[in-house]
Amino acid sequence: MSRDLLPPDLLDALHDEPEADALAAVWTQAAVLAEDARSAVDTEAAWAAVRAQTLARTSEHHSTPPPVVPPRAARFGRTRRFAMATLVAAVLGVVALGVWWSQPVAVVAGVGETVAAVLPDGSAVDLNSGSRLVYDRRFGALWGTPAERAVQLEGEAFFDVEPGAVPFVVATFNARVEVLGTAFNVDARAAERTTDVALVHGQVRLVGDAAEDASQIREAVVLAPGETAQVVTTTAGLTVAPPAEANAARRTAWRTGGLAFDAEPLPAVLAEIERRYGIAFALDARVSTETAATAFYATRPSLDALLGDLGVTWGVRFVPGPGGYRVVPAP
Amino acid sequence: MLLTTLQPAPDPGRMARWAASLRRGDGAAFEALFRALHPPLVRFAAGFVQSGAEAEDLVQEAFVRLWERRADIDPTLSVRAWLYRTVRNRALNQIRDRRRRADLLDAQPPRPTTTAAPDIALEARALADRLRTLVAALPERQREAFVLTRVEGLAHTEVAEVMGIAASTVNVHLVRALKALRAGLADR
Repeated sequence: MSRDLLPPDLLDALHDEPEADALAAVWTQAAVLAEDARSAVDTEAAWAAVRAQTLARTSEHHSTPPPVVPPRAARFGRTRRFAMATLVAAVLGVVALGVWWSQPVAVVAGVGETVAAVLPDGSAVDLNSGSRLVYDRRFGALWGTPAERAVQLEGEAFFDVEPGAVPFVVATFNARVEVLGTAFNVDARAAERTTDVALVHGQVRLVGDAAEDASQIREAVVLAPGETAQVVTTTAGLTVAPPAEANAARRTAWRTGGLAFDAEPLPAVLAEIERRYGIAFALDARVSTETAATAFYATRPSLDALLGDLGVTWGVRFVPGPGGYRVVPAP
Repeated sequence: MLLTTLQPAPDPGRMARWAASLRRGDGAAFEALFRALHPPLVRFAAGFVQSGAEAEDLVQEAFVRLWERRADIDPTLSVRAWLYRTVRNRALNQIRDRRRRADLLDAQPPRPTTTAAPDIALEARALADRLRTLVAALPERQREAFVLTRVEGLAHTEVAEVMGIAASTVNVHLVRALKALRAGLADR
């Protein structure tokens, strides 16, 4: 077990303590408490209960259920009362079904995990760490075919789309990717201001489209297999970079735990490692953020190996410290 | 292993996005927030109240209240801290009410029970038990500051919000807690 990391604020406070090391050791030892606290909690059951009191109730206001006539017991025979009860139960059932129907489905991959999901049309999605995908049940079509198969993505995902008559549309914070039947990777991190699309097979159309600003819609580009294209948010608005050759195996290495960086700037590389490994980096001011890295691991590298390689590439050292690693210039 | 011993990195960006969506009444964001924070909040509540069912109820009430007040969410403050604070305050109210009743009956106030594992020789288990006993014996403020930062992984600013104190005061409680724990561990 390696040393646990102290929060930066606490480390500052310990500076003035004569026995800082002994106190820090207690903090480290207390990791056992964080471990054994993970007792079983039934979140599913609790969510059902909370949803009934929150989301379900809110939707009821919108879809006012038919008024229930108060029973006039004196005039109702036994069968009529039974029929009334059945009717009430049916109405409540329909309301509950409607409430359930109106809730979009969210697939979330937390830090340090990837998640595989199958969409209503049979299309398969892999979600990379720190990503979220939202879509309507049956893509919003109560019966028959939906107008389009729309999903919303925050983060990175790989899509293997089933061929279909209606377009499959991935909406990100600044772009839309429209496809028919194909396999492609979308990496859309608002912090990096870029939606990056890499196509494995089939065909996709990429449109610059920031949801909140209709004037920002930019011309579409069509990608061929093996190509990549980006929508970038700049101070001047959205720009769509023309398609270029890309190595699809590298773009999708994350699906098997691997990592691939293609001349990516240092902050973007560190951000991805933070998401994948659940750690934090603090960048020393002397380290240039202009430095780029190109690296490829087909399978998940150990953190030590990864940081060792990046240290050599960038000429930096990773110093374990408060809250994570400090990145400092190598001597 | 390094990865498993680290706290799950709190992702302030994700929390802030959920909070923003929640303000607009986004049910999916509410669900995501619930799923992420329900287990740690129940654990946290269980540190105050007697039964797991009570802890569950406190947490569920807090989420229902959050949903009802979603329009008033302050985007500059942490939703996570708000939830911890709500759970904490309600737990403390419950304890106070119960104590008052107990005083009326001239009974002993309920004490948190720490069960010692009977047949386990493992050092880590023994250390965990010992630490748990020592943490339970800490003065309330110290215990809270310690549990929120060390076990729940909250940032200092969030702990300050939860406890209604300055961020610098969080450190004062933490350092005292660490000293007490160290003395307790050495005293053996």
